[in-house]
Formats: sequence, structure tokens, C-alpha cells
Amino acid sequence: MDACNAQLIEIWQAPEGNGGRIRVDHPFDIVPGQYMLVRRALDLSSLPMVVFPSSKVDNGLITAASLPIDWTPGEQLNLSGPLGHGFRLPASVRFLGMAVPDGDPSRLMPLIDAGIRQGAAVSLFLGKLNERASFFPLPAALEVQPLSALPEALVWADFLAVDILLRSLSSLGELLGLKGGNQKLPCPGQVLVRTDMPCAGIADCGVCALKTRSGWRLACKDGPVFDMEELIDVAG
Amino acid sequence: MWLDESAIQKQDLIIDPPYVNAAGSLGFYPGASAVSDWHLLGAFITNPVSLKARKPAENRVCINFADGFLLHTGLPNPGFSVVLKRYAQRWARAPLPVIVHLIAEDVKGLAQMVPRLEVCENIIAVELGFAPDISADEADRLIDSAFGELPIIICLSPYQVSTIAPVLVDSRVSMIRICEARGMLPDDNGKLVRGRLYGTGLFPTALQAVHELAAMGLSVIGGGGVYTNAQVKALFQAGAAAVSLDAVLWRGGLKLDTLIEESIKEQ
Repeated sequence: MDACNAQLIEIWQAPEGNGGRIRVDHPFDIVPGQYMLVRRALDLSSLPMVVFPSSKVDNGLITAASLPIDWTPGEQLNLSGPLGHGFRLPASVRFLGMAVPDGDPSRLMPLIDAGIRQGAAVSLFLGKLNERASFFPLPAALEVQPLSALPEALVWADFLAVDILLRSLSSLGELLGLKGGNQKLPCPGQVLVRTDMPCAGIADCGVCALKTRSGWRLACKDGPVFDMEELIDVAG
Repeated sequence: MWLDESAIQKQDLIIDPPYVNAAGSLGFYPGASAVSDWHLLGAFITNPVSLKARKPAENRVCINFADGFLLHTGLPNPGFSVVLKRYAQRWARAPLPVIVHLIAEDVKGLAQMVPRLEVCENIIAVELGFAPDISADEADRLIDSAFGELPIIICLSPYQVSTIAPVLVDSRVSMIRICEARGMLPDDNGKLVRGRLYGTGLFPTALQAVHELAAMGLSVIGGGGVYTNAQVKALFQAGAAAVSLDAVLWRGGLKLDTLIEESIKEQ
């Protein structure tokens, strides 16, 4: 695991916690959906925080809503990663759908940017639309819709990315408008599964275990992004 | 001439350098992801292994508290046979000796598992982990069923020391490792969850347990809440023969030498 020193430059309050800009003195590449670990450099025993960068900026990254409330600008940090498997957006995708039923859209921001860069029409479907969409500076090219419109949109989408809590995974089929088991997915897609990942793949501790069609998998190292067909009707 | 039972001695187990990872802290085999300086550890302890496969607990969770965190996982593992098939070759090729941690559930299970480990290469001992509420008599029966050619390490939480340790004093058990204490916290929904505790707040009870066991003449691997070189030194001062590291290994980018090298030099 690559690790380097970093510094918290700026913080702000977001609906689901503090976001911030972190200066990183080390070049890094990260695929949308991969995560990093960050901790106070001098903190002895706290578990590192899992952060999903919402964007890369000059000399660092922006993380939307995962920083502890007692971290202040100037804080010396230790950053490691990237870890896990991220999204694989096919280059052929022209209609990209994204859904965030139970959180803010920050973790999907790098994928939104990637979709727009490759010329795709991108739609984002949000639960609690008003309070979440209004906070984040979303690209003008992005269409934002309520989550209830998702099943209709899947008729035209040729790839769907979902960001969902592990405990909500059992509702994924319903979210996509699939009634009953073994229904065919309307389009290929991938799911970012959010859950605690205390060991970050070091120990196979099992806290982030989820059931897939291929058996039990760990979000920290087999994910946190999984193919949608692996999860529909089995995950939880 | 037959030897009487009293002539049977403890099997010597030397861990050199005197540091190990705690069971559950680094996975089932010494992979490359967390630790690169394996030469600083004297042995690798595997994740807990049960005879039959164990699924993750339904209410698996990690709950933070002021000085640490509680982990409830159900000790998921694919079961002894699958573990052996998957990892025996990796253990044989490992850069350091391996200690296999077995979940001591029943006498029959241990009697099946231990002999199969005796023929594996590079395994230097078996470690037994007990249920938190086990009685001394039951622990004694389980330990008895695990004796064979491999030295045995017994895992005790600080709260089990007063109950279980007295039966270990004149036994053939080679070492005792102080493992994570258990505790209980409410989860996000207010439901009470039992689990293993990690963090610096655990260190004082772990240190006292090491001191008590060492005073009984037992060989102890001290651990629980170890995050600093000063804590490592204190464990040796209290009589530990070796030190185990747990969640400190989950800090990204940890260099083991910053934690233990100075202590090695002073040994």
C-alpha cells in the first residue's frame, strides 16, 4: 500500500458530514469508486477514515462528506491507497444513468465527469432530491431527476452506476423496477456498496462481507464496486 | 521402561524476534498487502479457523468509541478443509513460521483438525481460541484434545485469566497469548452488540493480565491495545515473552520498525 503525508487545507459542512480539500505531496491515480484511507498523522489508535475522492484537484483531492467533525484546517494527515476495485465504464457508453438512493452523489462525481468527457448523456437519480442536489456543484451537462423516475430511464440507459448502503442492497431489484427474482437487468451496470471497512482488506475481518451470486465477497478488497448482476436478488 | 505422565514436558516454543500479529489482524496467510518487513515478526498467526465454514454474523458491525472500536464479525472463515487446501502451500512458502489459530468449539473438532496440521510444513504451533464464557473444566477438556506433536498456545482475554489460567499452570501448554477483551455497545439502531474490543484503552487491562500470568510462571505473549514502542517495552517489563500486534497493523503505511525495532535492540 502506498502511503504519503498530506494536509487538510479546507473544510466545509455538507448534509452528511464534513467535506474538505486535502493537499497530497505525492502524485496518485485513482479510478472512480476506489477509496483511500486517511488518518491524523499523530493519532495513535483511531481507525483510518475511508474516503472516496469526489474530485482530484491540483496537488490533492476533495472529499465530500467523510471527515470527522473535530478535524481542522492545517491538520497533518497520512494518506494511503488507492484501494479496492472501481467502476469500469465501457468506452461505448452513450447514455449513462446513475442512482444514489440513500446518500449524497459525491462518490459518483468522478464517474459523472468521466461519462461527460466521453460524450455520454448522463442522468443522476437521487433520493431526497432537493436537499442533496442543491448542495453539490453539479456539472451543467448533468440531468438530475428524482429516484422514482429511474425505472423508466433504464429503457434508454446503456450503463447504470448505483451508490448504495450495504444494508439497503436487498432493495436494489425494487429500485430498478424488477418485480420478482430472475428478471433480466434492463442494462449492464455496477454498484458501489458503502459499508464500514475497518481493516481495508488487510485482515479479511468480514465486517464488510456481502453475499453475491459467486458467494461471499468483501467490499474492501473484492469491491467496493461490484457488477450489478452479481448482486441482484442475492445481496444483503 | 515406561515414562509416567509427569515426565511429559511442555513443548518448547521460541518466537524470535519476539513479535507476532494477533489472530484476525492480517488474514489467513502472510500476504504482501499490509506488512513488508516480515523479518521483524517471529511468527504469523492466522485468522481464526473453525472445523466447519462460518458465515459472517447477520449483525456484523464496527462501532467506534472514545479509545478504540468494537468489532463483531462472527469470525467468518471457509472451514478447516478449505483453509488447508487454499493456504497450506502458502504457509509452507511463507517468509516466517506460521501458527494456526483454531476456534476451539468441541473436542471432536479439535481432534480432527490438529493432526492434519502436524503434517503441514512451516507450522510451528497451534493456537486455541475459546468462547468468552467458557468454564475452566471445558477449557481443560478442549486443551487436552488438542495435544499432539505441535506446541499449543492458548488465547485468553484479560477477563478469562482468573478463571482459566490456574488450570494451565501445570499443563503442557507452551504459551498463553492475551487477546482482545470482549465488550458490548449499542449499534446505530440502539441494539446491543457484543464484540471484540480494540484500541489504546485496552492496554492497561492487558498489561495487568500479562503481569499476573508471568507471576504464575507462565510464558505469555502480551497484546491488546499496543500502539507504541513504550507499550511494547512495558509488556516486556511485565514479563511478556513476546508481544502481539493487532489493529495497529491496520493503520495505512505502518512501518513495523518504528514500533518494535528499538525494543528488539534492548532485548
